[in-house]
Amino acid sequence: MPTREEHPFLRAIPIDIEGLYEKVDEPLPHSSKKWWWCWGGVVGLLFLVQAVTGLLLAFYYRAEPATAHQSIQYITENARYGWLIRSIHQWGATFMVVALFLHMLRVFVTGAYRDGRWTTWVAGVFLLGTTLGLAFTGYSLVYDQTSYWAVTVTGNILAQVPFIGGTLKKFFLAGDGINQATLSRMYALHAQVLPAALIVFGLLHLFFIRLLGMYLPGDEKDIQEERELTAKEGPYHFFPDHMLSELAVFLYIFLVILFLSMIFTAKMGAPADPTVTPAHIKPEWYFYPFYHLLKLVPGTVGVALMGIIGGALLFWPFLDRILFTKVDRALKWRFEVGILVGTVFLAFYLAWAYIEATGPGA
Amino acid sequence: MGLKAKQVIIAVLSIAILVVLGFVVFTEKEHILVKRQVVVKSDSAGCVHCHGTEGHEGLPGKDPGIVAQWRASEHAVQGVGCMDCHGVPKAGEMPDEKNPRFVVKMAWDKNSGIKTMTLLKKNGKPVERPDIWNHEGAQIVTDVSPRTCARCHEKEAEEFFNSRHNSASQFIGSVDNFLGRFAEGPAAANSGCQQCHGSVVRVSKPAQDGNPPLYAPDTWPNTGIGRVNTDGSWGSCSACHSRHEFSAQVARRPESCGKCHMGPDHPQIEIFNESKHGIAFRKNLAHMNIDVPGGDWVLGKNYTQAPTCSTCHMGPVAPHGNHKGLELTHEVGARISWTLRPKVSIQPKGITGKDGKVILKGPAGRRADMQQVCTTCHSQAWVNNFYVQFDQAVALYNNKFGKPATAIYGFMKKEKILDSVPMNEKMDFLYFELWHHEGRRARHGASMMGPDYVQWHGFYELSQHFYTEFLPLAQELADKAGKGEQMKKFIEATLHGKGGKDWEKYHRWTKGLSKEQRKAMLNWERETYESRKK
Repeated sequence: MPTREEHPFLRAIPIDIEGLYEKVDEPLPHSSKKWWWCWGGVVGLLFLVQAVTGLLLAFYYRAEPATAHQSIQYITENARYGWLIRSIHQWGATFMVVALFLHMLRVFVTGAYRDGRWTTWVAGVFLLGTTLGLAFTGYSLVYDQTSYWAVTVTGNILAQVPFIGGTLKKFFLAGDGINQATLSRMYALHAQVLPAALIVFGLLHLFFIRLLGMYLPGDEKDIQEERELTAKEGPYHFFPDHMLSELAVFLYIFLVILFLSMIFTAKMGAPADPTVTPAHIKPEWYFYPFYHLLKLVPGTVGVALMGIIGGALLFWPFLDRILFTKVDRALKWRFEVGILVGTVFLAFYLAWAYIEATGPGA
Repeated sequence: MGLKAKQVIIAVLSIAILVVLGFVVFTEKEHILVKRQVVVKSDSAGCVHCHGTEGHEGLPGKDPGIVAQWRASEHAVQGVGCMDCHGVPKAGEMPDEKNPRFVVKMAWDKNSGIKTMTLLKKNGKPVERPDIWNHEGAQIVTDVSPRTCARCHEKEAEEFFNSRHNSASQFIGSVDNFLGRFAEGPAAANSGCQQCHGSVVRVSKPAQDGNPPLYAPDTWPNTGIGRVNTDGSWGSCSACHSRHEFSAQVARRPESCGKCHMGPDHPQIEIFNESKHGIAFRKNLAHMNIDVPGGDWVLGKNYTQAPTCSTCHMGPVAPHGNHKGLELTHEVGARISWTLRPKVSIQPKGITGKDGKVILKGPAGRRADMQQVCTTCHSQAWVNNFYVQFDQAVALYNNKFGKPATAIYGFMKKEKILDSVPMNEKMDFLYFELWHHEGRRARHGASMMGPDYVQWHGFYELSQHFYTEFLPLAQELADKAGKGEQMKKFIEATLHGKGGKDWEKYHRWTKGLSKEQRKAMLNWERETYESRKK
């Protein structure tokens, strides 16, 4: 890190760079040098991509039932670079969810939420919920047949929540059914409420990471090795070491997003038509498990099961302490095996999602 | 991995991203251009320059609106320029009978329904049209006829050629024409009747010294659908497709048809607006994909929410059930099984060409085709019953009002109770309005499910005028002419005679009906519906 005196550019900036650097720099464990430790930062950088592209789309998007579909068609077909911005926004959402899953996978298999770090985990689960909320509301703004009916179906699912279902549905749809105000509500959620929530939970997440430090994975022997390495080489720095790793992974992912955006540009279906119910109403790929769950079981049971799954995820650090800590330590549940299993699972899931997305009713 | 290695990776990835974005910038230019590239061909570049917004030699463009409309058209994208339509092909460039440079002679055998178009020759040579002029080194005409459109749209032009639309101006000699031109006055006919039916375009002063020819102002401008063009052909494609955008989309909209199919004598647009079809159309227009390119707007595939005029009368229909589907047709009568225009409705017969080719199906075939449209959204049983209701309404008009009124009016003419001059007496107007206004409104209302036009604007007025004005006036005029007794007998025989005619039953009520007679009348009415169904 160059000092203020050494670098003319730094001298020109009226900020205490060294002081800022000291504050930004976080001594990290050497174990986090692995590429897998970059996904959290990549999610944040992808959110920036979404924010910038979303802002550009907002220049043209008109959140009115009569104009929404037309404005997206205009963005896609007429506005200069509109097709690219929209495609990046769409693929960026997909990769944000994938990166988030990979980040959670790493945290999960290394047990990084342990030793009092449950607050970081809980903030992370809220980030997951907010991200999925952003994905859903973004999908609804296209106002084509599938997005229109997906909102209808989601409203009906919410109505199944015991006691407060009716109120939830009314809040979600801005009325008893989809009406003029529903799209405005989706847009407000997508472009204002949820991004603000994401920033708040993101800052909380970072705050807890700084406050509680990063977890040292492995058993006593691994921890001892880590201490010795730190004593010998000093700590592994967040800036610039880890940040550059995150930036490299992000740039690679962004390049992939660019290629995908050029080859598989964002599409749109027929305009929303309240008079024609499509034979299949499919959500985006990350909601497929819930979609199929609700086809298999009655609505109330499905909602209850989703509630249980969500609750288990939120309170996982506590469940883990009760159920697995001792067993896990004894089995030496290692990072490599967990990552392998998780990645294979994700690959299968994506393959299934592709088949599902291109199959009947797609 | 060291810091240097990471920096190299980041640099390489950043360069790769910049290269990809550079490629996007390059293709974006292509993307935008390819999407909507107006092709201005070299032979039309001068026209676009002078008539468009650019202007010429410091002067503003002459007709920027025309060029802007053309730029917005599919023609502009497909490379169809000004000269493709306004340019006159040289002799020998194509067969003379197809070349709009030469005048043709149209003939229409009303018995067989066959139309023919033959090349007009003088001294063995084809005759050139009178409105060709040399303009900036090119030979052009202003009046673009369907023969020009046929150079690319051959099938559409042929269908249109065989249609009644194409011969809409051939009503000369009819009472409507006499009414407009003489009873009302020439300006009424020129600015009224002809603007829908079409004028006979005349050149009043040929082109001279580079100046354009002058079209007779009583005949031009005109976009009447049956216009007789200066090349002798009939018809105007821009009547529905609106120059200079020539849009399929505009022709699909009911408003286009409503320019002419409206008003007291044939209020089709008003009836459509009143009907469930019109209500559904206005409600669902945003979802009907009405702006898809020409020929691709298929009922049952691209839309099902509501029909427009073109849906039922012309539009393509996707296969469904046992139906094979229908192609788009520009023969607007191809699915009409009653002609509701004349004094007494008839079922139009089919037209078979001299080569044995079916040009137009008979009424059963036409009805079967229309029913293919209906059954996209309605069950066959529903459609069958609708047609029973429709047939019954037409029969009611024909038998109760159309035929007796025509017979009585004819009797008055024959007995010279009325003079031979058309439309100069109150009785002429009364009779004319009976069939031409009220009678048509009732029939059209029934055909398109506009209940108020069937009843209050239709049969109510027919009934009121027939019983309280037409019949009393007929008797009064006959009395004045000293033929009162003959007229009385004729009316009695026509309305109440024992000739076994259906309409005899319809007029019994005027003499009062007992309870039993009323019941018998209603039973008979019900039976006629049932028998028609069978």
